[in-house]
Amino acid sequence: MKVKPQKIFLPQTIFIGLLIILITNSCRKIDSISVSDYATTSRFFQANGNIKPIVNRIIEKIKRDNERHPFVPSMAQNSGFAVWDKAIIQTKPNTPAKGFQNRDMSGDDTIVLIPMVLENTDFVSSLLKVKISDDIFIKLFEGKDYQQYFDPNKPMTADEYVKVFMKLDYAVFNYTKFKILDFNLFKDKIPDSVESQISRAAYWVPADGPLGDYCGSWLYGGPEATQYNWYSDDMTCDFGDLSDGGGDSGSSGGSGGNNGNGNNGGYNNGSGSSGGSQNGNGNNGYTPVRNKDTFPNNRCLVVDSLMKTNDFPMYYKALRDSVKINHEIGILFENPFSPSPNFAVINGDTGTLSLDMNPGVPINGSVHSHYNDSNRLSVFSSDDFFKLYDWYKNGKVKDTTTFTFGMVSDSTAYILMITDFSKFDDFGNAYLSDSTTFNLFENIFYNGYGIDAKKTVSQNEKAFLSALKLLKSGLSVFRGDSNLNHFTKIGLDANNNVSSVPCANDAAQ
Amino acid sequence: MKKIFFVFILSLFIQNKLQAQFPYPVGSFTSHPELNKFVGDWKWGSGADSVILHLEKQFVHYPQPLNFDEELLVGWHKYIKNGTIVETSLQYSGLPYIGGHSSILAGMKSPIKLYGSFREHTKSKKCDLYLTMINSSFTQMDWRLLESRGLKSQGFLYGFTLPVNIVLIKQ
Repeated sequence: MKVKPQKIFLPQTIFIGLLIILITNSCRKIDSISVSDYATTSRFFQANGNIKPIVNRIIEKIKRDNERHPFVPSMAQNSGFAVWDKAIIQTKPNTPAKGFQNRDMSGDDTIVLIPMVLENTDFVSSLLKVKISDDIFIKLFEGKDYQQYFDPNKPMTADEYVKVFMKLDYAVFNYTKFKILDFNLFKDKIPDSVESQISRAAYWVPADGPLGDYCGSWLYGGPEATQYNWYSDDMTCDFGDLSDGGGDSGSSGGSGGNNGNGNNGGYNNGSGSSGGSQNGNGNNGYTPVRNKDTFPNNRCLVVDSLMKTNDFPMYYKALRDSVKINHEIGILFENPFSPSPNFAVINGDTGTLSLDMNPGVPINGSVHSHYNDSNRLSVFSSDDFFKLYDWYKNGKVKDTTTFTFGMVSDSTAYILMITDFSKFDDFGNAYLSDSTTFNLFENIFYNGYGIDAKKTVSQNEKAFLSALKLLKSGLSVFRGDSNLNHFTKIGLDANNNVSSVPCANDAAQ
Repeated sequence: MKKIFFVFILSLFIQNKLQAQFPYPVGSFTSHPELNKFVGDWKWGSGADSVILHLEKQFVHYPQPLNFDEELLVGWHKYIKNGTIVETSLQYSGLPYIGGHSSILAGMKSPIKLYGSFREHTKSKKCDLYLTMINSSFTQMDWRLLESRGLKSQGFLYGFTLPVNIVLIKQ
């Protein structure tokens, strides 16, 4: 078969060539500009954890708005990345509310607050308030804009505004205390009698549990974390009123472009102050109190503070009272400093000097009993150490600086705290990470130092401290007094006698 | 007479040195001659059930920061019930303790009593084990298993597969 030679037309070829170059260059240009924006956008919409369907609906809505006018990269940079799984959802009856002109009078409104966190920060800097009725209305609120709400013409107060951010800080980072830096905040909530103390330390503690009637309470005291007194506050947390009072601005969103000046695509609340950066130290009128701030390298303060709470000493005393029952009892606790701490009680099998105690979530501490039995120990058993290290390595220790690990018998009570993480790591790696070397630890414990149920309390205590010192455990030991009202840090002195240890530093055994 | 007295004093001194106080110096090797009476093969039998042990002394190294070696009793076992092997580690007898699949590690509680741990396979757990000589010729040994004290892992199985209190005879 004869093939007819194809004619090549020069103008056509040049045109096609130019078109290819144009398309190629055009594509390259788009790619080079949008790579980081694409990554930022992807990260912004990245939804980890348990995302509720209503939040997924919001994500899809913002995605659609962003496709029309890409604003998400700018919003992420200026206001933070959304933490979708920590969104707070509140349903409220659709009645005219301050600051809102409700469009739908036929049913309930759902309010969703989505916390936003700036890169490399550990506090909530902004939030997206989403109102869902027959349409979705989205508004961006910046934490630092709280000062605008001192204006009495605003539909909500600065106190209320700040509380919303605190609640989100609690949801995202589990902060339970906030130091008030702007003393114009919560002025009328602070009794005159303690105002001078408040000027040194004032915390608002959000309550656990469902939102609504009870939102939080005040905590005030003398030197930080050494004296706790409570001033109850019946403020409610009604996030539905979170508004700038400017009507429905922000509904539907999507206007505006990516101009790099904090334009957040129509979600702005109209204050005009978005953009810029925050350092987490007061721009919101308060700063979260991180545990390391509250208890700077001093485990004694932690123990003293726990003993001043209502529940912590109560549970230790309850375990002391329980030792006549022939099974061990364990208690796991979360958020012991909050007004609503969680305590879970676990009962061991009858007649066994052991306890199957395994927290499903990270905890702030535990304590268990050694009930009266001829073979019970007056100090921790070797298996207790194995479990402590297991929790520590497997993410069950919520906050290593405040984590307490206790035991109570009829005549003794001890608390262990991890003081030197490097040493505790080394100790655990060497002796608590597999059964082979753990057997050696047991040999040191029970044969080398002779810890035994038949030994006296003081003999076992000295042996126990000697073992921890020999192994450079990185643990601090606290001994409870006979009434369990106070725990004293103990160790071995230069002559290897048991003595109290000054609390000026965190030197561990 | 003077020579005999001197030798007696010297032997006491040497014995005292051999039984150094815990903790032992870094880099040291501490032997325990008292363990000799436990070394060997042991058996308990009742009808078609039997427990067989192989016990031997080994220097076991303690990791940092201790970094010394101590002579301990390392053992392997076989348990037969109704003529059927329920569990055994005897095939590993003689291997070094670390990585040697042993089921027993025990140290001196007193000259005639050892305390240690026994790892049973069926419930995949360790138990407290006490081995005590019960006659002066050291041919009979009491075996006692106890649930180890303390916090346990999720799904911990209480109870024992092997007999908890038996008398083993030196083979």
